[in-house]
Amino acid sequence: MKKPLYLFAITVALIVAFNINLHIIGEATPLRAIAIEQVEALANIENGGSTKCAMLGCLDCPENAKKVKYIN
Amino acid sequence: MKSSLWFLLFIILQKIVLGCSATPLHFPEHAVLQSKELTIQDAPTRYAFRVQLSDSLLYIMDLHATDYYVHTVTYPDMKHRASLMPRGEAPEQFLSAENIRIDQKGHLWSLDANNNKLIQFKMLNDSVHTQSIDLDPNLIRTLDFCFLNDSTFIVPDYSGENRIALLDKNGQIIRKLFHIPSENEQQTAPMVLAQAWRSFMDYHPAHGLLVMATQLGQVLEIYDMKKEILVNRVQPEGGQPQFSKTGGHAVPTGIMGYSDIHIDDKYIYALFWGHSFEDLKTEKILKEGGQFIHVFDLQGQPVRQYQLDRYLTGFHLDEKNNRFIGLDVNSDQPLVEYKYQ
Repeated sequence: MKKPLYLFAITVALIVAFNINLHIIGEATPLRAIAIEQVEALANIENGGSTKCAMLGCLDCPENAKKVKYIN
Repeated sequence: MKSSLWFLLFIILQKIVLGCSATPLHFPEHAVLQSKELTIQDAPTRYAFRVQLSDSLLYIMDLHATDYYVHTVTYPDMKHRASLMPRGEAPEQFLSAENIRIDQKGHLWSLDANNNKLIQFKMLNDSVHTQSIDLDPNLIRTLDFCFLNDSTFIVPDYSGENRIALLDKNGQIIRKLFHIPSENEQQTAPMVLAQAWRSFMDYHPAHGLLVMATQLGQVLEIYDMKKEILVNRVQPEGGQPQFSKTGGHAVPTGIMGYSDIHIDDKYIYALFWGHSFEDLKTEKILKEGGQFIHVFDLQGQPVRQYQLDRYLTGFHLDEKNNRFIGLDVNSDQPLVEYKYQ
């Protein structure tokens, strides 16, 4: 009974370690200060509608036609 | 028997942990490129998104312009020459700029989606002559364009009824072609589908190929415009745009995919981000732009992946000199240059 549990734990550990490693590779360093100011200036553009478009980016916000970083 | 069960368990767990993330495309060749920064004076941009080099003049388009959407800079000495497309609501001003292109006569064109206009700029000595074309009112929010020939434009069809529309020189729809290649087309309203499948495009008149790359997910489409057929659709497993429907709109839930695409007489070059929206919202990723240029042959076979030392939003392909001129909005000096083999 113990052996299958041990093997199961090793399998889960390997999978988690593998995926954490992939995410670490993708991390980035902070933006320059001026860009952050620009981002904050445009942050949280709420439209009173059912979707919210936020921050400075290149996605086309379907509610207000602005270019934003993400849509909620 | 036991080993089979363990293998099955491993696959199930792997799927659970990875969720619906895409399996990467396999590129047989890889190369790392180092940038050279190009310093510009007096051409301030907030979010440089498109760049074109024509003769010895660089055109830089700012997606979030404060005063002007386009700046021209002499190349390679990088002297600011002029600013075009003033931002504003007056008759000679513009509400937005989606892209810039140079036609065969060397004239600059841009697209103002918020005014539903295509604009041509003719540089005459020190003055600029502007001519606008009102786009067909049946078009819904045109977000890109390219030239099929000197009297026909190709634009994406944002209504979701078709993939693209052909426009005459007056901006009127001639006809529409192809369909959005979604697997759940039947379950989704066409407009929502079109938002999720917003794509960037390029066309090469020599071989008549139109290429489109999705901003969400990771789908490359190649169309033969002479035969009016789909040549290939290239996507990794799970690469279709992922989204949810909220209030009649497509809300991205997967990844930021491509943000620029170019085709020359041999290859297709697409700028790829690969950032998940989860990472963007939680600020695990703070950089704007993609670090990879994917190269495909004209049939869509992956050839090479360039890994860049900067995150770019757009680039100019200078195939004669084996050079990319890129835009890094994360830097005070957004213009960078890469040499490739």
